[in-house]
Amino acid sequence: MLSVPMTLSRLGGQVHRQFVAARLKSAWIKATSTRSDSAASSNVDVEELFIDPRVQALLTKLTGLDVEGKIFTERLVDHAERSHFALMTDSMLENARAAMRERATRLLQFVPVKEPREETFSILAKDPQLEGFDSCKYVFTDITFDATNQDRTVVIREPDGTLRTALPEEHDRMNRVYYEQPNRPPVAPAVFKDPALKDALDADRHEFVLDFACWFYEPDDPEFVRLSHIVFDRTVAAGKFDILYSTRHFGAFAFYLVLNDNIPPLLNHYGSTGRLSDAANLIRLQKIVYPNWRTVIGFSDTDKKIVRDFLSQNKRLRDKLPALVDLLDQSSGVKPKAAKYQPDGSMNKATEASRLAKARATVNRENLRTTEGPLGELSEEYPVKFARDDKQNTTERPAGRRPTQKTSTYKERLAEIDNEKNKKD
Amino acid sequence: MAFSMLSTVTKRYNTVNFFMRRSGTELWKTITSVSKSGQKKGRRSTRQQIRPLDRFYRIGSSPLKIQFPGLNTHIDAGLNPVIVEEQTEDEIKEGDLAVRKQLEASGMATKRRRREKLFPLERGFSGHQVVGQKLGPPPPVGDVKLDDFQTYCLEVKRTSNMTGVFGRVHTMSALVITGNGRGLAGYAVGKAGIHRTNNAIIKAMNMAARKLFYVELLEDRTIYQDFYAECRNTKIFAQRRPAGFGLRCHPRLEKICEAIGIKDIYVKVEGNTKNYLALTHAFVTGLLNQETHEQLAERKGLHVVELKPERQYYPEVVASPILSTLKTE
Repeated sequence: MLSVPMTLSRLGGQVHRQFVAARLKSAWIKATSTRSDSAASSNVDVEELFIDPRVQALLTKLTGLDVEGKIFTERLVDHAERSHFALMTDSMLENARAAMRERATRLLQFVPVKEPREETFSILAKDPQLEGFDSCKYVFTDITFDATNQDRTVVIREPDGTLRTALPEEHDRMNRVYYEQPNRPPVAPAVFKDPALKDALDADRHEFVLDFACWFYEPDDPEFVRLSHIVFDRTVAAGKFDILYSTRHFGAFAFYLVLNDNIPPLLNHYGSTGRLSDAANLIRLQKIVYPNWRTVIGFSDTDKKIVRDFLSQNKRLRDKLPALVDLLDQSSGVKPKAAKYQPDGSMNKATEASRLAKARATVNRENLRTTEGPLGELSEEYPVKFARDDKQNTTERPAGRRPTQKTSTYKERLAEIDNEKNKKD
Repeated sequence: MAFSMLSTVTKRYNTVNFFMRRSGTELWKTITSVSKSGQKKGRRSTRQQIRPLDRFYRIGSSPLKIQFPGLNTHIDAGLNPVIVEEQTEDEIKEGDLAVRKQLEASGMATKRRRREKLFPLERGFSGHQVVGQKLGPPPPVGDVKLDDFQTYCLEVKRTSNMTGVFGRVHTMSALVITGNGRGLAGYAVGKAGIHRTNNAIIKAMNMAARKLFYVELLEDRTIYQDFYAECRNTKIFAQRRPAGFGLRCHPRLEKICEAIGIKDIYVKVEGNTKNYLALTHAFVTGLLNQETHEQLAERKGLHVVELKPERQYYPEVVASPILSTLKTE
């Protein structure tokens, strides 16, 4: 229990907050964004919009599905187990991969975008005769067995006698005290604040920080919303979009950017990696969130047309989107020369290095004589020959195997000698 | 007390003295010789050993302890006449302690040779015994250098054989394994005469360096398949283990695995766990009958797919059949 004396400014803050809220209803649209002053932003119901099936479909497409490189990378395991080896045909392999893809889509379930709870409290009772009963506040938490974390009643008796409901931060803290979970201490870990947060993001641990935050906080915790906004802003500032690509946070991330009219950095990133369809989907998303009668997007348009129209309608952004412009020029030509998406392995540096060191090229009949085979580019110059073991020289067992040890008894040995003698005769 | 020195003093024939009429060797023979039957009965090393008496006999030494330059001390430049004076008490005491100080300075103070203490990680299986200790690389075979090989002695025993001529003949037998930690290893048994343990080990090392075998290892650290192998009454159940598990097996098998380069394995030995030669035979037989993933894929005509727990069992093709046709279902 904290011994912070209650002051009147708290009550004053409540009034001030209500006044501000009339202008900016949503906490997801920042005051610094260009849309914060327009009428459109105050009409946006962020939660409803996020649940919209068209928005969900577009966000799913944008999030992508990098099964091998991102979702099922090597992670630390509690108890080391030995790997299992299976013998599979091509069809069995395909079935297994399809099952894993299905699991991967379930692992990419979006982090919910919710308006944060109001950081206000309501006074339940005023008992001035209780003033000075103790020097610190008393917190009462209802730990009935059928109360959920959201449902729970948490009230606080201040030293001056007022009984009030708890703020979201206090409420969640009490939940964490009475219902402990592993890695969920009552006090927030240091990684959610600078300088530890800055260090983590410098080491490209964005996914870790956000996953930890999802475990630690509730989705409508104002602290969680603030933290995710900070992480998103810093991701955009550093241009590290690929870290969050194909994670469950990309949906919230893309939605946040669209709400705050901050798509140019992401569009430029798509341009530099040659992802025209993703850029087009992002523009479509923006059209759904902010249906501006001035710009027209037909939903049966091709991706290229949408991007071209967007660029022509937003000429002021052209200098911010050089890569996208280049991409369009190239795609109208022969082929886009831009680099493909590469999984950013820098976050698991050790595992990436070990993976590369143990890289196994699967050699099979089809690619034995091609450039993907063991000889690589040399196979184009020289014909590839595969030398088989000389079958005449080896016995039935392959080379390198020793005959198994046999111990015969004395009688058996005598019998063997007799047999040999008889054979000779 | 006229002790004659071994062979420098000639026999004297015109004397009654028993000792002067015989040579040093003859006299020593009277004390040290053991008859053939006595040798068989184990009396060979029970006699006195021949002592070098000339070392003990110091010319010019007497209770008076006079120093004669050129005889029992160095000649100083210019032979100055030595004045014979009585030693002071301090000088006497110093003289008595001088020998002790000299011995301590050279580290030979105690009569018994004290062995150099081994670092705990250098120790073998037990005490200062050679079994289990690292014995360095074997000598080169022809012009092939085996510098990166490490040798371990697994067992040293005293064996007996009853012969017709000498009766019971004892021999030292040493089982030695040598390996480079990357799949190449060899083991052998060397024999030498009794009390010639080092010779036996060296013979075994040389033989082992000539009897090498190669074992393919999964990720250079463990075996490909779990196997069972037996030799005589020693049964071995070996199982592969994940990285970082370590060697959980019989101590002799630990050394064998270190020599071969296996880092993670679990082995259960049943039956006779003390017949180390049978243990080695069984283990090596099992290792050599392993199949790599590529060989397995060829034989079965199917993809060999690894499902790692770290990757949540995502299927990853490790080997595919190259020459044989892939089975379709």
